[in-house]
Amino acid sequence: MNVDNRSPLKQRILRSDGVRFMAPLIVAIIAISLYTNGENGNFLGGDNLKNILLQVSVLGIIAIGQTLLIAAGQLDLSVATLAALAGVIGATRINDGGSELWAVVLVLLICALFGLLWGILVAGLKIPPFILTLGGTSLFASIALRISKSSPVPARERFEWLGRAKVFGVQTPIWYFLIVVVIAAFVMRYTRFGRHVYATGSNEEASYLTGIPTARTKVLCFVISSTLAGFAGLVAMARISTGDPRNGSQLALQAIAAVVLGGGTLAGGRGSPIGTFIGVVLLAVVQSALTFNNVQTFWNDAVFGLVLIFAVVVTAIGDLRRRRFGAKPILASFIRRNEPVRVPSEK
Amino acid sequence: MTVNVLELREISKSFPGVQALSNVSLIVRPGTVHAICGENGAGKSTLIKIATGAQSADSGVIQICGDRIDHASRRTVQNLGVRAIFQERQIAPDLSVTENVLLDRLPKRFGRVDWKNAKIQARQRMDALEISLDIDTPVRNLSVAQLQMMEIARAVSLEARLIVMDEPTASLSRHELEPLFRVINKLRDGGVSVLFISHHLDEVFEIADEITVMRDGVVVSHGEISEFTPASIAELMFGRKVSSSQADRMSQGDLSQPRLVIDKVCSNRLNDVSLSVSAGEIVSVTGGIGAGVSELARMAAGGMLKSSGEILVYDDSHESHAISSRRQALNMGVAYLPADRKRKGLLLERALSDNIVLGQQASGSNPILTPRKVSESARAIAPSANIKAANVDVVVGTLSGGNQQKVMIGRWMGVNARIMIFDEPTAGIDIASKFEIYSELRRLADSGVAILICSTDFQEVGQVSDRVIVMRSGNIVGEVEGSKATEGRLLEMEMSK
Repeated sequence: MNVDNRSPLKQRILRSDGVRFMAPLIVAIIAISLYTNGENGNFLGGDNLKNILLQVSVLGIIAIGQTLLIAAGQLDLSVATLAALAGVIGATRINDGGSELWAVVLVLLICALFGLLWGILVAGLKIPPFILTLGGTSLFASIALRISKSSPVPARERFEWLGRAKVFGVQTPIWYFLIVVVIAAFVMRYTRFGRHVYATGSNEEASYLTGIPTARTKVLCFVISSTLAGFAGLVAMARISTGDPRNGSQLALQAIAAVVLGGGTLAGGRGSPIGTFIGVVLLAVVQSALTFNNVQTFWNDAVFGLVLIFAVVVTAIGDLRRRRFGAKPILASFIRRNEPVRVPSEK
Repeated sequence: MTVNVLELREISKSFPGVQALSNVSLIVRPGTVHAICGENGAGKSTLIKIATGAQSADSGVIQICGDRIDHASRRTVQNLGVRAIFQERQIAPDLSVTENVLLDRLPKRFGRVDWKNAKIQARQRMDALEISLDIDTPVRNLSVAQLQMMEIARAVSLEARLIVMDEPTASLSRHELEPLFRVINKLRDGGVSVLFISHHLDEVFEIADEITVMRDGVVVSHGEISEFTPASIAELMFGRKVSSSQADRMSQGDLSQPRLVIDKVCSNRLNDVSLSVSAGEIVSVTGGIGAGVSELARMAAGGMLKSSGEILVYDDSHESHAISSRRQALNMGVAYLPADRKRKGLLLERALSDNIVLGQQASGSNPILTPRKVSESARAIAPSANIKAANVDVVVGTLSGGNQQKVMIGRWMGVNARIMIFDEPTAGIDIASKFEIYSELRRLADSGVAILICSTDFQEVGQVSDRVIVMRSGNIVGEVEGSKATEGRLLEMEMSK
């Protein structure tokens, strides 16, 4: 027995969630990129890479919010239509002659309030978030259509700084996405709140009985996620200078898919912002590669579905092995086949 | 000569590490009420699980109504007329009483359910047993006692010849017993046999015709009820004079200063409960299943709503603070170690270190908490809680029950808990580790922690406590000094009305 020690560094790295979930995705991203680049050239060019990131920055910001929720064992399906609503409200405010900043603050505030409402209903009344936010999805869609009178709202001012300006040659949405990822990664790894989120998602009852403020943690996750969704909606609106009430209806499911690709499980307790970032990038690279290789567009959804199914099957197999043989990651078995299975000794 | 309803011969069953039953024989005659008595762990539940086909025996013969059963499954046993009413209710909560009673035998007409007829049938079954229940209410709305009645009615409607009940009185209050006994008498008059488990001896004497006493997986005695007295059964159940190997146990704490005071607390399961625990003292609350012991533990930790009364915690300057939420209790240094560690205590899929720092994580205020800090404090605590594991990165679900409990204890040592509340401290823990936990408890008490143990294990509370409080049906019925808390004495106190 050597309780004083940690397990050997190599083992720790191989068994970490980071390696388990992210390494295969990174390998896939590189493989797809190299293949497409070899066939068509230009895929790995700076412009295309930026383009890929730009395409998914809105999805990415939403997915980060969803990461927090999923890690806490929750879910929010309404983020897509909330983002659309945010875009419509933002555009309308600007057209009514408000200042840009005021419009942004107002939209974020409204979204945060909706998040607060979901959080309180879920944590206080124990309503399943799936059903609740499904209701919210239709609600937001309707309100957005009502405000916009069912047609896209062109924004007179163009929100340069929000959607089109470039900093160091890179469009601002990409920067926002990256900043959100970095902050979220820090919060989830290095703060008490982040650990509360994982504890709540791992075993809510046990966390509550230990004294962790599980209700407050869940409410905060909903507020953060909704606020990020609102921000993503504003960015989307600013990029095309139009608040489109029908924009991005697929975003919620894609965001959840990205989180799951990055190691999250809907049962809660898992998922990381960095993992989600890689998941989002994988989705984007696959999409872009299909275009580059002239695959007809109706295959896009099929490929998206297959990637997701493949990822969860691989994860499930890994979990099964872990449960059966102790914490032995699937990757390690590829690297060293002859290593005996280690069961933690108790004596 | 009549054929016996149930005949078990030489039944043996072992689980990993435990011989649950060895050569147990049991005969239930038609139209009799047969009681099985024994302390916790005597093998009563295993025996009736085997009798009803829920588990298979390693060896032995099962005969139902003269037919020998080779591979008893629930289905075959039920088809032969043996119905079980287990503690975990087997019902469809949103269906009505009518539907639950008749279940797959709802009368049909022209291929659709004939509701009118169904209700008449259900009512007839109820009336035959003099059970008064609204047959239209969803089962969800029934009380435990009413559910039991409903299940009995269902068993009868399925033409049961033997109804097996696992501690039918455990979760009933005193005034709910009488209707149950009346129904059991009705069953007996109708020629149906009843086999039931109980460790309330007064009930056994009230209702049973025959009795089988078990201890440590063997039948120690059986016969007609008239051959026994409550005292003789109690002696048979425990078999030995309980040695008081408790020399080192009296506490050195300052007993005049209470740390935790529970003052006239009521809830739907507790009735006017008051007690206090001082620093350095181990106080146990015990009673049968359904006494409300487990509820009291959770209540004292602030994890449950109370309808009246107060829970007070005294800080070091002897000022009292009322507790009304789990988080408040935590901030006053109240630790809670639930009985169901896997579901309510541990983050099973996470590392030992994550689990051990959970208390610090919940109570600290610094918003930054780095993985390095977590691992460091886990490594600091693990040895002092005597946890045996390869290292702190081990997934906690792979540890043994004893070590998992030590992780829970370690979690609270990390926050310097002043009051520790244990619900069944050694549930699911093997005997050797039990004693380690006991000495851990004493060490904690000696370091000045006030300990409240809520346990249904009489032997356990007799061994570890300074004082034992006995509960029944949510009421405190007695208190005894730890050194005098023999199993016999506790049982006697629990039985007295």
